[in-house]
Amino acid sequence: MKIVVLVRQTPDTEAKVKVNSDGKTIDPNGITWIINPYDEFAIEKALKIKEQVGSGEVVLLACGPTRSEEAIRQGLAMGADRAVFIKDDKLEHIDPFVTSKFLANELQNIEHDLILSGKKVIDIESSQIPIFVAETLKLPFVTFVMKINEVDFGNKKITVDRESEGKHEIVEAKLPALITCDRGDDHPRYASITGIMKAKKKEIKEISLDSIDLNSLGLSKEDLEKGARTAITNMELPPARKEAKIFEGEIPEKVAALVKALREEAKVI
Amino acid sequence: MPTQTKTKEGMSFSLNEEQELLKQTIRDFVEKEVKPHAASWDEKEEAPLSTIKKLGELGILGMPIDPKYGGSGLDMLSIALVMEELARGDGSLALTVAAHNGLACGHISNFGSEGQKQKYLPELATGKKLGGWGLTEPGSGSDAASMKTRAIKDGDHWVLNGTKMFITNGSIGETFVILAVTEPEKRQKGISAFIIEKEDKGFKAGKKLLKMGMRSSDTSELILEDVRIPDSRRIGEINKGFINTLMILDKGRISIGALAIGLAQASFEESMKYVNQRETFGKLLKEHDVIRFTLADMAVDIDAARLLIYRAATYACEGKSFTLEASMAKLFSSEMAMRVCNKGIQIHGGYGYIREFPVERYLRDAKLCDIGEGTSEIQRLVISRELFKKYGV
Repeated sequence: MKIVVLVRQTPDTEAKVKVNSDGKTIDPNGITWIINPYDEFAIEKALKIKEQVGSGEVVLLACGPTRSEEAIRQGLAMGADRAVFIKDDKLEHIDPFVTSKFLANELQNIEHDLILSGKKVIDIESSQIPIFVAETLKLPFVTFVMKINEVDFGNKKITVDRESEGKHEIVEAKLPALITCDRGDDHPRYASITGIMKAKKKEIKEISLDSIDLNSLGLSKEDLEKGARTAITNMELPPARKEAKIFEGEIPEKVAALVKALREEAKVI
Repeated sequence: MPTQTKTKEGMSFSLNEEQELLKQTIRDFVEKEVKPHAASWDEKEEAPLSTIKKLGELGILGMPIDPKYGGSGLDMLSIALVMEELARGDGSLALTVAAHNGLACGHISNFGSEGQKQKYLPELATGKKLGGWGLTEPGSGSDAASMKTRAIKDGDHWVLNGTKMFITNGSIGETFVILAVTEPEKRQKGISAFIIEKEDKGFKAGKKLLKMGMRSSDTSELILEDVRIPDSRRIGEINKGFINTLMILDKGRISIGALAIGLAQASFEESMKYVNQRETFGKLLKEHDVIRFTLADMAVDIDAARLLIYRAATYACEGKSFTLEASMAKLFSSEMAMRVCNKGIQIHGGYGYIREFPVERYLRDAKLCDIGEGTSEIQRLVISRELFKKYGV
């Protein structure tokens, strides 16, 4: 039983994000990078499956700049067995389509019964990469999965719970399949000290960008720089939130003032 | 001056990847599982046993213990990093860990027999049992020559009598290392160490001591009345107990110094947040020079202490003598924490003095660092003694 988890590194949710003067990229100075929280849920689900089955391997697969190695090490410290890392600083700004081509290409070299990933990355709120990967590999995929109910590696099927727009669905898929994970009831484990010490000795196989034949993936060098399918034309911070209005006085007066404001200013009632 | 490793790049002030990951992991744990509860633990004056159990699962309760006995086998610098991060969330929890790890586990790890290590270390390393360590008595502390607790040989057994005071984890601990006089005329060279188990007949925790700070760290008296234990419970050679203790305390001082840094760092971070919110005289606190300069002084003080602690810990990792460096680091860090935490309250003004904000707790907690594991006066004594030795005065 082999599970591959797709891992990405994202800015910390508490990081103060600044847009570079080019208006298209984020200024990386002063940003703390973390493992994408939804990918952490995926790792947790993978480790749980491995524990339940009692054997197998959890492999992390990442594609990104050098710094992404911190996220990989964290995943290894949580308990993943080894990692494959398509590593190049030129991969900093590639679009989801190019990333998915690289990941799908590498997945052909890694034995897998199941592929897990986070349901989205929290930096640009994208959910595209894993779906592109599944499409490229012609694998069945289920998105936004809260819970993995059952994995039957013998009969090659998986049953999951997914939630989307108020619906709750139970889906069965054939293995190998790709699942994108939400939190569900999982609390990703903290890496133990022993886990951290062991992580240092675990293998991270590095794949260099130069070793990848872009033509065979239908990509050009330009796709790396400009994006093959999507390009960011402009990036700006959301406008500052307006200050809250606080009503003073006794409760009846406050309620009257609130109702008036809702009707006349906000025009919502 | 101590010799320094000279490289083309100069001295290294960077943590390695593993240490960074360790620090980050403990920080995440503390942010989610410790910080939000620290104030209520302090109010209740009760050790948070369920959180202590989680520390065991993470391997924090077996930091100095060899992996062969189920420990994490961390070096002293990594232990210092963990202590700082824990104290940044809750000083009391860090103190619980320090007494368990550095003192009880440290003593058995360093001087225990193979049999003792196999019997006691695995359950201590995983937190199944908590450890405590008893040197101090109602009438003696660092002045070990005045120790009253006696251990008298009776065949192949020892009988212990006496009272220990200010023992961290006293009423929640289950495995204790107790120092007792075996040859009174030899003064501090007539003291031996013994392992006492909670269930031993005649042994009990006395009253729980209510403290100014570190209130959710358990502190109590320990009472020994005709506690009869086999000689296999003696740790190390007879009469070497106190001499061995000095080595344990050198490392313990690095831990307490690191703990002090964590408290100061917490106070500094809270102050940084506060100055960005509170307005006085028409502008934010952070726009007043007096406040900015105070924060600058706090940061310099914290960093100076941190460098001293890192140096002492690095010496310990390298197997060099570090008695002088550990005492210097502990003295400076604990007095620094008092200065910085006091300034943290001052920046908060009235809000700093009420319990709704955490900064008053940091100061109450920091005071322990001036006293525990050798008071500041004892550190000055050790430092001057080491200096006179070095300069042949």
